[in-house]
Amino acid sequence: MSGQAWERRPRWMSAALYVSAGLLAALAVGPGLWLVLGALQPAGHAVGMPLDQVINDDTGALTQPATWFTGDNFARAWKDGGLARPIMNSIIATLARAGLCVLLAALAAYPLARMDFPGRKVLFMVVLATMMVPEQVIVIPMFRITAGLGMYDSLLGVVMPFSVSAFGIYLCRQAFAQVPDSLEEAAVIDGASSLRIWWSVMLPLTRPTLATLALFSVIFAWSDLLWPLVILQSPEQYTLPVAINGLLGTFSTNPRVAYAASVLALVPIVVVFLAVQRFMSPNMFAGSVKG
Amino acid sequence: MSGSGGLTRRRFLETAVSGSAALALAGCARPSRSGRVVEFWTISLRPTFTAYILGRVAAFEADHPGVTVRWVDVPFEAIERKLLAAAAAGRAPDVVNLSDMMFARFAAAGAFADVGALVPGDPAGRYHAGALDVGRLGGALLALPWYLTTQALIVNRGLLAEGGDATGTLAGDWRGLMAQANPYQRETGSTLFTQPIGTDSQLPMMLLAEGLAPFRVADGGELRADLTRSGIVEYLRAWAELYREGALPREAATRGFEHLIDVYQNERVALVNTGANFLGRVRDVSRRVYDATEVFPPVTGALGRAHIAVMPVCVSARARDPGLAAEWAWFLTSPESQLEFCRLAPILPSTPGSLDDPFFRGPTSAESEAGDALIGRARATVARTLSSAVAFTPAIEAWPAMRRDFNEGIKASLLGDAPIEQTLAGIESRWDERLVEMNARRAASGAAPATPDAIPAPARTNLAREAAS
Amino acid sequence: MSARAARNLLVPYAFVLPAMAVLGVFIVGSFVQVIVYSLGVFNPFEQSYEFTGLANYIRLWEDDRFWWCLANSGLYLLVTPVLIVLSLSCAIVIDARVRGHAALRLLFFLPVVTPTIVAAVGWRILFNEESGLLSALAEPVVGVLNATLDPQTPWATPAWLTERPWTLIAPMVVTTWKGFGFYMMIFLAGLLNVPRELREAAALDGAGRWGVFRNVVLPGIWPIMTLVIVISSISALKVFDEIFVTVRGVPLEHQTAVPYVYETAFGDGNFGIASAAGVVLFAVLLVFSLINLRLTRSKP
Repeated sequence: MSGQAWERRPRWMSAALYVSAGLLAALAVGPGLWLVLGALQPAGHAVGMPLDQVINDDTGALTQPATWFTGDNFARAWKDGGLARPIMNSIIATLARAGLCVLLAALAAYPLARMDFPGRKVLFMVVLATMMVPEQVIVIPMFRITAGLGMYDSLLGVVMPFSVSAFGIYLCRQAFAQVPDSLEEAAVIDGASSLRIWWSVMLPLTRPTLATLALFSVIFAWSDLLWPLVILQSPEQYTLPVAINGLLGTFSTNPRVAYAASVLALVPIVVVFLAVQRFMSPNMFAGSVKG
Repeated sequence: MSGSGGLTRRRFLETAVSGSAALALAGCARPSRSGRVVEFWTISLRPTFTAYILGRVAAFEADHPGVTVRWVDVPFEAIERKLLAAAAAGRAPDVVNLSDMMFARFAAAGAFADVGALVPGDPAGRYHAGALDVGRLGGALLALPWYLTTQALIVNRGLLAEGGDATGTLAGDWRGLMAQANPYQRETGSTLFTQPIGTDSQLPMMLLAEGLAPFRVADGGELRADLTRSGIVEYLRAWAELYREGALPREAATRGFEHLIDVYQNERVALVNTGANFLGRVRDVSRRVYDATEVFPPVTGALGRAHIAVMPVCVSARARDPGLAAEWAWFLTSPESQLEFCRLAPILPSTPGSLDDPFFRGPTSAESEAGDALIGRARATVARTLSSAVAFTPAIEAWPAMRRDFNEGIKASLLGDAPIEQTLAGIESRWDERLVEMNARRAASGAAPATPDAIPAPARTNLAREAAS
Repeated sequence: MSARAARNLLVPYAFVLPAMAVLGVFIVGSFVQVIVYSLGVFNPFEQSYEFTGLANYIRLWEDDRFWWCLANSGLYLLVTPVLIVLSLSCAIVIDARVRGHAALRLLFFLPVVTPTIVAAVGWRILFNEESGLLSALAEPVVGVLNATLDPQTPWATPAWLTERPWTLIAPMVVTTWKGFGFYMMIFLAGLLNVPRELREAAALDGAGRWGVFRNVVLPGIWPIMTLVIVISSISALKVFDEIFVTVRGVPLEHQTAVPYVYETAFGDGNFGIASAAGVVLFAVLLVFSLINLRLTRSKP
């Protein structure tokens, strides 16, 4: 199945490949692992040295393994942070924002990639140009606009300003551009409408790209902190990062609780990744081209 | 293949649609804006003080039928962004609690109303004089003092002994401690103490506390910057040398107060001068270090007075109902309200009347039983120093910007090798520009220029002598 | 013109309308206001605005710190080639289905899904100059270097969070760490478009490993490569989060352009200059991206 060129790899090369992949993987997991250990550390030990409790400072001997880790920080994060409502809000806002991002990007990218019409170049440049606006500088005017539209302190205000991603449009445009002309022409001869072609030809053929974009949109929406922090004000509307940020407040004495909340925030996103990565397999794409 | 593809697309659309529907519903669930409302913002009090604030809100609403206090708690690092955005959209909160730095900055932009004329009593008879002065800017009272934080000297006895020092021989002022830092470093290879001198630099306030106010009086009686006279240069050079010799940790220049907990819990310094809430954090992160800790009165400058930080409460210049907003601020900062707050948090009241309570004389029995007697002793130690304490913060709205200029300049000098005189001359001319600009803005709005009155009284007498000599 | 033809003319616009409406209202609408702010003095509390022409731009021009920040942003572009080489190599390895490729893909992608606020906490711990893991690892290396090379003043372990150039390198490490899995996923989606048969045929024709990559794989993923180059360099020039969470305390002139905008707006409260800086940065990005697009248009 896989290319023979890649299988005739010399032994030393395979070894080097695995060693470097292993190192990279360790690097990728490192900070997360450090954080998980920090979240599991019992109180009374040095924060930032998550395994401090394993060795007794006075005797230098190992301590009782039963005392190494605790779930207390997670329990406190859940209780003090009141995380149930923020998780619900985050799920709603994330699904809505990611759904709109994929839908609107796929719609806009179709004519930009495959139709010839006056203003096409200009529109594409405008899309690209919006990527070059630094978010930090538009916070205040964007707040005025969003509040002016009656979306202050609501999840709608969290979702709408970022429901279109210029990056998404760009990504879909590059993917649509690669769909063979013959497939589109066949549909035109069958008398299919543009919407029909978009739906039955373009979307199925670019599914790996759409899945990738959906995944990215979910991640960005899930972890967005700056904008929700500005546009939301009632705790009932808080999204998860805003709630976690609150746990790091000036009077909080135990950063481990915030670590635990952060670990909790990470879990759903890993689950989503595992669910979505199925759609990004090469087999599936090969199947849709041939079938 | 197209069958399964269609299914996926349908599912994808369903998700998008149901998500949007749920969102529309959530959008409808916003509280309505009717009746007499006071919108009140605090900084990072949730979740620890939720019950307390809601209790105060309920008590006020019971006294004022038909009035709703809408409380919003904002994380510390978001407050500036959020307040500016809200103001730009014409929905600034009616009452807002800020740090003293932020207060002066927003006051300079005309954000707050003169509460002196709005409150139902005499502020001078109620609040700590040094704390009340923080809110007086250009002749108006733009803030009521809420809670105070003051500092204590927190000492790790074991580490101190390693350097041959004992708590009995420890200096109580900055110059004395600086003199002890070098021998300590030679003895132990470690650092005696740390203090934020670059980021969030405490040096400008310490100058005032030393009686070295970095100002002079110009011909017209207006304040001008004076950072280049010999006493000040010599004092700051001593700090820079201490830092460059490694007698202070590297973070002393690059990080603010938050680095104190890191270096103290990791036993890299024997002592820090910081707020009493620090003890609770030490206890939670390292019981061993906590058990080795003792508390002493705060380190002072040559004036012998402790520095207090004031958390002001302000009424917005565009409050919906300024009278009602001021009443809420008056209620929240009452001696009774503050005493209740102090029982919950390691803070002190701005109302001296509250200090008579036995709570401020030593550990409570609950604290002693829980092994927290140290925290109670710290409270008593600090409360005793409060009567002579001063907010070493000049009442000029340019002060936050001037402090930032100072931080940036001194940091570059500490981390690079620019001579201190050159750095200070640069900061001084920047400060003068700021003061001129500020007075021009004051003149445009009919306010008087900043005079020596803006300097806290104990530091001011000293300023006059400097200016005369 | 027939009604049907007229309708057909409108079709492309109907497709782009929803996206353009959102971008137009929220992004373009906001940016127009930013341009207005940049030409005057805006006081949000008094809701007042005074037109001052180009005064803000002139003050910006005279502020050395802004030039330093722009220059640092330019240096920050060094992450782009590192990211591309790293992410493309990872994508090719995983695409070749080495044993464990599914697990590797997940592991490499973990940093991307880690929320910034979480990554910040983790990296601050690792970068800690006294107790951090990176300092512990660097210590023996620096020790050996000092022993063998014997420089005049012995080298210290890197002051990741306090001293130049480490204050720029530390956030660059975080950007690379957080980004390579992201671009790897984009490359993986792109590699699916290069038929395996082509690569195998080329290999049978005697093209070496490099030849297959150079003549078959690279042209096949070139549209995606263009996108990655453009996107990654724009985000490098726009970097904010990594600077903000790792080295917030360092002097402003050791930071980059967007932190300058942020500090000026929310630290100094000077919207006029911050907006002017935002407009200048936008223009720089636009010109840079146009050149970038022009250069990458032709296939290799």
